[in-house]
This record gives sequence, C-alpha cells and structure tokens, in this order.
Amino acid sequence: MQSVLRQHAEQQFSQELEELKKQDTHQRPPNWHLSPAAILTYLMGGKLKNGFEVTPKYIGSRRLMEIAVATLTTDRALLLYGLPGTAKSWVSEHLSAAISGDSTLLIQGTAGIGEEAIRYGWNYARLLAEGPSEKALVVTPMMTAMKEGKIARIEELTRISSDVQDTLITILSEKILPVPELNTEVQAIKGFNVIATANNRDKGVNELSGALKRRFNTVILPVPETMDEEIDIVQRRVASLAKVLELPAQAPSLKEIQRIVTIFRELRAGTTQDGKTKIKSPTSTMSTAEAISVVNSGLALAAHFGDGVLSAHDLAAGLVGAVVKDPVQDKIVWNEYLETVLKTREDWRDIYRACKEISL
Amino acid sequence: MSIHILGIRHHGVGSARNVEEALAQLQPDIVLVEGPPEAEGVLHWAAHPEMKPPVAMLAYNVEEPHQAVFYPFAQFSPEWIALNYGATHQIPVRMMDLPLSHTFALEKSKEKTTPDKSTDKATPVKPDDNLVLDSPSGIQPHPDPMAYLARIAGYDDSEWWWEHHFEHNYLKDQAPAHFEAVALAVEALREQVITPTEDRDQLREAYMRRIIRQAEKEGYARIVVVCGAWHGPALLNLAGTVREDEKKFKGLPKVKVAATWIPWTHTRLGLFSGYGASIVSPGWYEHRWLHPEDLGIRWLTKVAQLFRQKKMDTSTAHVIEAFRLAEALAALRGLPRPGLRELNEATQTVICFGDTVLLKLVEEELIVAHRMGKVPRALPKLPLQADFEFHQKKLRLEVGETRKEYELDLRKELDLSRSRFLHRLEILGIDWGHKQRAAGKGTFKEVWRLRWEPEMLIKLIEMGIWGNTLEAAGSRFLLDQSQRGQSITEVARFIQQAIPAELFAVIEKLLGRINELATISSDILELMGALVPLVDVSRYGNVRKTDLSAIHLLVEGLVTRICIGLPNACYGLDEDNAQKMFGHIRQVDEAIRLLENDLLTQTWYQTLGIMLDKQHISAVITGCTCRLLFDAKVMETEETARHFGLALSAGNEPAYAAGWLEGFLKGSGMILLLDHALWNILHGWVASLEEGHFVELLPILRRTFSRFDVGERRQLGEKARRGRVVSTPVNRRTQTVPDHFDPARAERVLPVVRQLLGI
Repeated sequence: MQSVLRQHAEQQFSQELEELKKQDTHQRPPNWHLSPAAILTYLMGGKLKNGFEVTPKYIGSRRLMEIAVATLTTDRALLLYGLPGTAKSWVSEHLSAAISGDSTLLIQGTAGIGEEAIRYGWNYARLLAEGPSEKALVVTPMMTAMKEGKIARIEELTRISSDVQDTLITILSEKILPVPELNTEVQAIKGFNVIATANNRDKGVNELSGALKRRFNTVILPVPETMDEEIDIVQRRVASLAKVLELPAQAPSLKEIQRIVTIFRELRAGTTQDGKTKIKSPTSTMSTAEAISVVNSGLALAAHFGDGVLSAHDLAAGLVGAVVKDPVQDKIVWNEYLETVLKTREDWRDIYRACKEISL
Repeated sequence: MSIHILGIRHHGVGSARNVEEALAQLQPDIVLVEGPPEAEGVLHWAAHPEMKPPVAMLAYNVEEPHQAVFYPFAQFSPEWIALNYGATHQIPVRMMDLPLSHTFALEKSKEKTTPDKSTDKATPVKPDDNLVLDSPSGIQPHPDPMAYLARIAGYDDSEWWWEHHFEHNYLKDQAPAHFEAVALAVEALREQVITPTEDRDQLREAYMRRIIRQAEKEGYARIVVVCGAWHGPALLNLAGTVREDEKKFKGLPKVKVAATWIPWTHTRLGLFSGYGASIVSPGWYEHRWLHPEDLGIRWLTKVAQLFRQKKMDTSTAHVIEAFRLAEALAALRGLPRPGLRELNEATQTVICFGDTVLLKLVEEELIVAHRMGKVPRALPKLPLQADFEFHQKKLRLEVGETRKEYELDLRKELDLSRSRFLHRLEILGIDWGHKQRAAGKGTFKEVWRLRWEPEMLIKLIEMGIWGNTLEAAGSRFLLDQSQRGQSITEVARFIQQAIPAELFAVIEKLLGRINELATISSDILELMGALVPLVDVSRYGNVRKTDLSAIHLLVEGLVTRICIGLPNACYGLDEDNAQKMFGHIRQVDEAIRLLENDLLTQTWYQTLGIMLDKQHISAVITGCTCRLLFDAKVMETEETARHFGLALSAGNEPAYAAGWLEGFLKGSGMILLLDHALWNILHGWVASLEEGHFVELLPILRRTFSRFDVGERRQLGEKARRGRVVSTPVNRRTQTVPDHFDPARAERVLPVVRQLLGI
C-alpha cells in the first residue's frame, strides 16, 4: 500500500481509529464506528487512557467540531462553508472516516455533473439489451451510502448547477431515493448522512436554494485565528506530505514557515502583523492550504535542484505564484508589498531579493 | 438559636431559587443581607408594588455625591428574594457589610496618599457587592479563585463552571445540600489555595461578624445570612474573633452617606457597560428564572419570533432542528441540559446558516434584553430630582434605555418647553439628550436623540447642591463656572447655552462678566472668538420670544473693541498666527454681516481700510482685507485692481505676492473668471516670474488654487490657455442689435410687461 500517492484518511490513520475504538466506552449512534466523543478526540487530538497519542487533524476551535459532530448525530446534513483552504474537505474526509470508517463515498461537485452523478445512472448497453433492471443501474456513492448507512460526501456543492443541487432535497428530507423506472426506491439505513463542502469566495458558484439551505446545518470554518495556530497547521501538513512524497530534503525550519505564514496573513488581512502599515490585498485567497503548498513546492525545489535545505530562493517561486493570480492587479499589490514591507525588514533581505529576481 | 449562612452568587438564578427555598424551609425571624447598613432606611421600599426590578440601591457620599456605589438587583437576584421575603413576612431585614461611611472615607484617604488615582475619580466608585464573588472589593488582589476549581474540573471559564454546578443544576428541595456544597468548595479554596484576602476584605468580614453577633444578642432565634459565597466560611467563627474584630473598628474615618433606589437597566447588569461587572446575559437569566422548566424550546421559539419580527423566515421546523442540535451538543459535552452556549450555537448553525451577524441581534434583544426598572413614585427624593421628574412627566419625555428621537418644533409650546428642559439638563452635564443636526428646516426645528443611563441620576443628585429646581441649579452652576472661567470665549459659550435653556437671569450676569473680561483682556483673538457665538445667540431672539437687547449692546461693545485693537494685533505676525488671524477676520466679517447693523458694518470696513494701507501686516491678511472690502463693495473694482497690481508688482518679494494672493483668493477663484482686469494682472505677474522664483512659489500657489472646486479650476485653466483677455464685451453687445430695430415700438410693450411682473 505504501506506493499509493495519497492514502485515504481511514487507511493513513487506521491505527488511531483502531485504538480509539478499543478505548471507546461511550454510546455509539447506530452504524457509527465510534462514539461522538471519540470522534472529537480523533479530530482534535489527545491522549488515550492507555497512553496512545492521537494526532490532531483539525487545528482550531473545538466548539466548531463539536457542532459538526453533534449535527451528524441528529440526522441533519452538515454543510461546511468557508473560504478556500480552510480545511473543509479535510474535515469532511476525517469525519466520514471516523464515523463510517469510509471516506470514499465522494461526489465531486463540478459545473458539469448531472443528476445521474447524485442519484443513479444507467449502464446503457445493459439497459438496451435487458431493459430496465437493478443490474442495469449504475449506483452512485450517494446510493451506496444510503444502502449501507454511511456518510456520503459532496465536495464543492456550490459548483453544481442549481437544478442538480435540488435533487438532494428528497434525499435529505425524506431519506429516500426513488427509482421510478423500476418502480422502487432506496430507503436510507440508519447512519446515513451527507457532509457537503462549499466555498463562498470562488468565482462561478451557484448559491444554494433556500429549500436546500434549510436542510443543512451550516458550520462556517474560519481562517486560522492566530499566527501560532496557522504555523502549527502548516508545519504539520508539510511534515506529513513530505513523508508521503519521500522528499529527500530537510524539514523546513520554523523560521521559514513563520515568514511564509506572516506574508500570507499580512496579505490576507491587509495590514502588517504589527498593525501599523496598511497594505492592499490581492485577489487570490491566500489560504492556509496555499501556504502549505508553497512550502511543499519549495521543499521539492530544494530537494531536487538545491542543496536539500529550504532556502528563500526555493520559496520565492511558489510564493509569487500563489500571490499573483491576476497578472495586472496582483502584480501591483505584490510589488508594493515587496517594496514597502519586505524590503524594510532587516533579516528578510534574502527573501526580498529572491522574490525581486523572479518578479522582474 | 441557629445561624444559617447561604453563600450565593450575585444575580445567580440557581442561587436565588435555593435561597427562596431555604427561606421557606428555615422560617427565619431575621434576615441579614450583604449590603451597606446605611440603606436600611430605604429597604422597606423593596416590597412596594410599584417597585419593578431591575433597580439599584444607590448609596452616595452626601458631601460629594459623585462618590457613589450601586447595588443592582434583578428580579432573579438572591438578595432581592431575601429583601422581599423580609418585607412580605414582616420580619426584620438588615444589611451587613462594612458601612459605606467608612468605605468612602477610607477610599478618600487613600486617594490623598496616592495622587495619581485622581484621574479616574470622575467615574463612580466600583460597586462592592454586585460583583461576582471573585472580586470582592472591586480591585482584584488575586486572580479569580474559582478559576482554580474550574480548571481542576476541566473548564476553561470559571463562570461556566460555577453556572453548570451551582446555578443551572437547580434541584428541587435540595437547598441545604446546595449551600453545604458551596460552603465546602469555598472553604477549601480559602484554606488551601488562596492566601487570606486583603485588609479591606478582612475588615468587611469582621463587620459582618459584628452584625451577626448583634442579632444574636438581640435574641433572634433563626438567623439567615445571605452573602457572597466567598465570605461564607469567614462568618462561622463568631465567638473567637470578638476582640480582634473590635480592634479593627477603632478610629475608622467616617463620612455621611445617604441611600435611595434608582431604576436600573439590563445593559447595566451586563458586562458591556464597562463597570459593575456581573452578568453578561441578564435576558437569559431572566428567562431561566421565569421558565425554570424550559429546556430550550421556549427560548428558541423566542429567537424565532424575534427573527420573524425582523422579516426573516424562520419556521417551526427551524426551532425543532435547532433544539435537536442543542440537545445533541449538550449530550456531546456531557451537560445535563443545553445551556446558553449550546442554544446560541444551534441558533447560529441552523437558523442563521452559520453566520454570526444575526446572532448579534439575538444577543442584543434577548440575551441582554433591554429592560428598565421602575421605582415607586412616592420614594423620597432630592428636590432637584423631584423637579426633574415633574418636568419629565409633564413634557412626556420617556425615560428609556433604548434610543429615541424627538423632533421638536419650537413654535409649539410643548416642544419649546421640551427643548428648554433638555438644554437645562445639558448645562448641568446630564447628557440625556444629544442634539442632532436638523436637516435644513430653519431655526425652529430641533432634533434630539434621548438615551437614559442610570448614572445620570447620580449627576442629578450631585447637582442638587446648586439648587432645588433645574432652573435654579442651572443658573447657579453656570454663574459659578463663569466666575472661574477667565476666557471670554468660554463665557460666551455659556451664554450660548443659557439662551436656549432660558436662564435669563444668568444671561445678564454672564454678559456683565464678559464685559468685565473684555475690558481687561488684551487678547484680540479672544474677543473675536467670543463675538461669533454671541452674534449667533442674538439671532435666537426671534424664535425664542426673548428680549436680547443686552446682548446687542455687548456685541456692539465687542465690535468696537475689536476694531480698535485689530490693526495693531496684526503687526508682525508669523505665518501660523497670520493664518489664524486670517480665519478669525473672515469669521468676524461673516458675523458682522449677519448683524446687519449699518454703523457697526461701517466701522468694521473702515478698520479694514486702515489695515490695507499699513506696512508690516502679513500679506495673507492684507490680501484678505482687500477681498473683504471688494466683496462688500466698499472698494471699487479699479481700486481693487490697483491694490492687486501693487501687491503683485515686481518690487515685492514673490513670497509676499503669493501670500497676498492666497489671502485674496481663499475660497473661490470665481472672481478671476469674471473680472478680466484682475485676471490680466495675475496673468502678467505669473508670466513675469523668473523660473527660480516660480518654482519657489509653486507650493503656495498650489495651496491656494487647489482649494477651488473642480469646475472653477477647469475654467481657470481654459482661461489661462487663452492668455490675456482683450475683448471689450460692452461693444459686442450693442452690435447684436439689428439695424431695423425700432426703439419706439419696443417701448410700447413695456407698460404691459410691467403690469405682468407687478412692478
């Protein structure tokens, strides 16, 4: 299994889930693999009674996770809403891994998907040959989840066109999926629920209809509140990704991560960390996820083309790419930031120069 | 004989319920409540049918009323329950705490020894015991001791911990066990964790013991003590501390203290108000008190109703789903029932779609819930307070916590009286009403925004020393202030305040004071500053039906003085002062034009004329006077052009010319567009400047021209492109008359035209 590029959450953290299950004494909702309390421990991290250490998956407000888990216990669907890169999909994956032991029942929302991606499709060859039958039916992750009492995930719900979105209404309120062609229906088993993620910043999103919105409990995931929290997130994710990708580079120093996070936070907030200087914000979202990928690509550069130690040069390329999404406006913003903020910082000379070289 | 100590948290709903139960069970023959003994005289009012909490007991230093303390009570305050129990069961209730007469005196002596404390003297002294038990004396000598227990129990917030264990878990018929548990917890804390409290607290606790002993001595058999849980353990050892305690009371300083009841507000009970820290969510507490059986459904229904009122679709299904989530959350957190936190989170997640903005509304309307208490009308009051209430009722102005706007039409009798009343309050520093800008409706409209705050009552009591009616107090207060004030501008401002407040007796005296000050004052800028408000005031005469001839006299005197002193005052000013003077001259000019007094206007322009010809007066001022004279048509165009040319002639320093130009043109460049002669002079001057000079002058010129509006600047630019203007417009107009024009025929129309126009 080690050769897989990215393991599912339930595989990667199978040991943790196993230990939690052993220690779990609280009552479990029907068809749940863990109790809500154990799921919280899985998400937020902690030490089990036997001394086993559970790593935190979500770094941020515990109360938000409590709301998310509590929502799923009430058979209401959960909508994780927020800016890009605020760990929505990450949370959704781990939630379903912990609840159903299966995070793979995933429907990726795109502008192009139709109803059959959510409800069911037909195997046309069979349909023509044998006529409508159970066998000719192409089962979707949603149908599987209903049948098996598991969590179905919908990613980027708002990218799906509105009429397709609305097919969810019956599933969420009646918990059934009618198949009129076969004059039958699929009734959801206990334990079934839906976790959807959606973001409110990207272009080309379809607002949820009121009817659909009412069927979700909405949890807004915020950008990390403090600098330390964000550094922690970046550090953890970079470390785990570097392990998976087997990069022959040293782990990035705390100082480099601090600088990257500082730059991201400053551009996102529109002021410098000391609150003294106002700066413009670029059109890009400057999410934590992007900060992680900047550090990662920097690591890759350092590993393959550099001396294996993450330097300002390795970071600069990814950094400029992350900030400058609109070649005209963002370029101005970025140059201003370079000249007015980065240049003035004594020990940031290297990163200033490296960025300058690329920007030119 | 038995003594029962009920340790409570102030404003704790669970505490209140347990106190209620304990009282019913114990059937005491006397109740001792933590609070100032000075208030005993007004305690019986608590049971008055007109008394509606939230109210506060206000105790203040009679000599210096701003030294005051509030003891707020909501209907769910345990102390309130105790007070009411005493009143309804006809048993004595006594307050037991260190008398405020000592507390105030001690504070004062402390203030004297630490001078820098005087900075926050103006804010009322922090109330002692409306505070949560964690800060028994306002100042926190040790960090929240309860936090220690809370941390052990795994709570990050001591309030929540206390709330969950002692307030929200009210169980019927468990009062003795409840108080025992509280006492145990605090005792353990006091013994092991926190070092004995500071001197002030020890003194207070000693006094509490003294009062209990006294009650014992008087032969009461069942004594119930209701006090902050923190003090509980200290009150047990009565016999062993007698001598020690009495020693402490020797030689304590004393001041005179009076107490009364005042209406209080929910906001004040909350933390937002900045002081009197007690509870953040009075509305929620009240709900818990009124509906102890409610698990959250009733609360969420209230939330839904609120949203519906605000035109947001909120269905019953929302309430159901929100409640289910709140329950699930409570279960997840191991709570016996959803608390406010869970209900809020459920509201946010289910009803508000995750948004926190709408939750603010819930916070404001339900969790704090604006409410204002009432006190009985018959409550003895200070004369000034009574006068205030009499007027406030008569004028039908509502004392409310929420903001209310009144638009007054001063032509109506009622509105005029209202305005007078509000202005009088303003003079006394009671900012109940804030005057708003009335949108272009003439001088007879006033818009006031009223928002009552309980502190205003203190101010009212404080102002009681100045007189027994608002009129008298306002007058005396103003007079006193004016006697202290040395600045004419300040006194002029008092007059400005006194006129709408119709304190006519004072006005005369204030005018006298101004006269006095004006005579000895050599500061011409002062006089000029005072003139503007006075002229403003003299215009009020029409609306206010008042005779202001005295003011006219004063204004005349002031103008004369200004005219005499001005030329000298303008000599040799530096740049900054010249600019200041420039502003004043323009203001005075405006004021004088408002006056429409021919004689004064004439004197004024004469003075300006004198200044125009004097040397050593700053260029900005000369330019300005020239312009003012030109605008007033005192000076002809040719004459103006001459001065203009003179100022811009080559002999002058370019800086002088630029300064002059600034003074002349400040505000508008229209004159340059219309007057070709001036334009040509300016044009010639600019053209004649050498490059070096031109560059030097650019900033000043830019300063002048950049203040014109865009249209003017554009037109000026276009005109500049055309260069010198040589056309003679008069000739051209005669040419447009065609040759076959017959003047005789044209004239025949004129009578009819006249008739039509009514000339």
